[in-house]
Amino acid sequence: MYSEQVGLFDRVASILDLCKRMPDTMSDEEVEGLLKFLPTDSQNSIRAMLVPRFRDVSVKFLKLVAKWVHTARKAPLEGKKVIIVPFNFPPELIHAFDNACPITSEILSTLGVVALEGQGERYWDMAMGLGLPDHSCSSSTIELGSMLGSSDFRPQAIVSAAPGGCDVNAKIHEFVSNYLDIPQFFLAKIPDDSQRGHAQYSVEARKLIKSLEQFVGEELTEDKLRKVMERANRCTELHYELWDLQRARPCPVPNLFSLYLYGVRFSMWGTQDGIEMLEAMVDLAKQRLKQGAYPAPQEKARTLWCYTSYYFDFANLFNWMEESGYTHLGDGLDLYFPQPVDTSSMDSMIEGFAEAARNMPMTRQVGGQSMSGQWTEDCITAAQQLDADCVIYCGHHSCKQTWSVLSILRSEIERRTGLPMLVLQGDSWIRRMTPISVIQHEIDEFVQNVVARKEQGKRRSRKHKSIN
Amino acid sequence: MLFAGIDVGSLTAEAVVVNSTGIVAGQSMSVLPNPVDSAREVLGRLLRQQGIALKQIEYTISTGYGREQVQLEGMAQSNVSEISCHGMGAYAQLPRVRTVIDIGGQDAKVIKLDEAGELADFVMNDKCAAGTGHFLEIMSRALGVTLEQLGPLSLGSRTPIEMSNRCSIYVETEVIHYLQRGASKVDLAAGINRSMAERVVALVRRVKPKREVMLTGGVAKNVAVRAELERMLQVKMVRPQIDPQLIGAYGAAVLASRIGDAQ
Repeated sequence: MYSEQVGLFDRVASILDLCKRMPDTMSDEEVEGLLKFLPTDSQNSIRAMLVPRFRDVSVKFLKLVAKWVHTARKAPLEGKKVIIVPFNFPPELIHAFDNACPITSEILSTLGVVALEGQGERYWDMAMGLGLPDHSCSSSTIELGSMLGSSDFRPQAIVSAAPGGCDVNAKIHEFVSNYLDIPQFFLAKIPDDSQRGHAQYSVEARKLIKSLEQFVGEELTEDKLRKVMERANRCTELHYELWDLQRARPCPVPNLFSLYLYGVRFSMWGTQDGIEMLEAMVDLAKQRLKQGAYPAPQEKARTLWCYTSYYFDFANLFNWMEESGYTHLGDGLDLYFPQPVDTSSMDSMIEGFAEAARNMPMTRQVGGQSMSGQWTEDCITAAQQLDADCVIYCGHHSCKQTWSVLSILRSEIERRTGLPMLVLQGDSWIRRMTPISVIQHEIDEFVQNVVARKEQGKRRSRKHKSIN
Repeated sequence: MLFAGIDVGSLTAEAVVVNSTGIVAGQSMSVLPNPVDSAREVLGRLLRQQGIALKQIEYTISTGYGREQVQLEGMAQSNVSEISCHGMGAYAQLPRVRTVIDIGGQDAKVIKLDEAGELADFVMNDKCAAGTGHFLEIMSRALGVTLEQLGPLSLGSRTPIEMSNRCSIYVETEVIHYLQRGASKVDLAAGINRSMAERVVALVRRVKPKREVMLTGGVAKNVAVRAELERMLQVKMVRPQIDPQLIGAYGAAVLASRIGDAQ
């Protein structure tokens, strides 16, 4: 087939096939050998993942993703339904069905950007050519553009948890559903934060489960759901263990782990593979804590990213930051505050699922009763608990929601915590918007001048107080 | 003792030499393809003009886009970002300055300073050419006037033509369209300068500017953009005592003198 017509999913799957064959522990020579097989555009990101200091965990992560994609790829051959979900939907529900398999559109877009020659631009352009506007959300548009414009794998249904939370995404889902002629199931946003609002949301979650049961042709049994929810609870424990480890100065958790963490949340949460991945992350962070290991001579700034990060060049963002002494404490996609699910009954587990869905990023903040209020609270909680020195907003150009309340967030964070915030304007998935060198330049300026001076001021003030 | 600052930007390069009492001289020129050649040429011109030997310069700091290469080639002992240098230059000119609007060839920055002249906050336009000096360059070409003429030309306008777009390409198309319909160059120039100022004001408002406000960079020489900014921000901007385009190099020279004195 003419290569232009091959879809993102299939191209990513063939690259991930290479990862499945990787040894668990790789030598530098093996890494260099692997890089030779990869497209130039992906070498920077894969090289960043395979730096010696967390190589084994990255190999595990690549294998986890490879398995996830491979499972979805072979699912139709086994008579299973592949259901596309957005990142703000807990995939553990789909994992609880024997005959269904979740695939998350934003993760596929990110994988395309990380692993493919030309990153995801070809599919973005395809989507534009089909009539989607260029102010569509790039995170969804890249993968969905591939499904619409090339010979890619076809999902059997789409679940949209975006209406009301992110209407741009919701409309893209509708477009795909119509274009591919596949059913779309909704989980509308919570009406408000009252008890009645929560009750209504549970009703909506139950309706969705019923619809999925009918579509998949399988009843969601208590036993199956309990198995998944117990594993999800273990993931929750590990999530908070990592969160606690991140509090240490210097931070023992590598910058890229914030991405791996939500990578698991949005794909394999509630599975044994997900648990093993999180355990490997926690183990390595513990070792590094014990050794006091940090890639730079000094941790100069602890940065909390309040929205997304940039995914088109891991080496020049995550690793460059870490090697410059700038810790990435996670971004807005890590702000889903998982809660243990009561697994004593079917009812309590469904309530637990509804609670998890309500707390997913975007639903919790953008879909909250007060978006600026909830987003501010969550960022302040994370910044304080993780001992951040500053906040960075990665302007994802099409996100009207976050841009609309950004100045409120910025002034509230500054007023309540004194933390400065840097506002960047690039796009997470599209390098065309702002080059990584410009992003690095602004981060450097911000940390070396604004953050460093605030810290000096705090130290001077502490010294002054202690003298008095 | 003499100290130098060299600012190699995207369109122009500047050099400034200071001594313990203040500025000795400054020089500006259009950049050459290589930033190191630009730095060598602009500093060389300044030194020749003033009859100063290179060895008389105790310490040099480079800034601007080419600052690292200039240092690597041994033309400067260290390099400092242009944000810090513009902040320092403005503060050294007038310590009451709290907000610096620097509009250069390829970007626009708004810098907030605290009482000690330290950088408190900044914002940059990082995804669009509108609101930069290059925008005015494109528009002056479309109007068939020089960049220097664009500001004074528009002062005679009573009815500036409103540009419906902010994108450099679309505004250029719009200008060409108006010219074809016989619109006056004076009114078009006024519309272009206003459009430029509107774009910059949007950036300025993001940092909640404090008085005094100083406009620096090449665009500061455009009297019409300055007037529009003052009208929109409702603030009379203070003027540096030197060419506003030299402020970055001047800030670098002041920083060089501090380091040199400390040594």
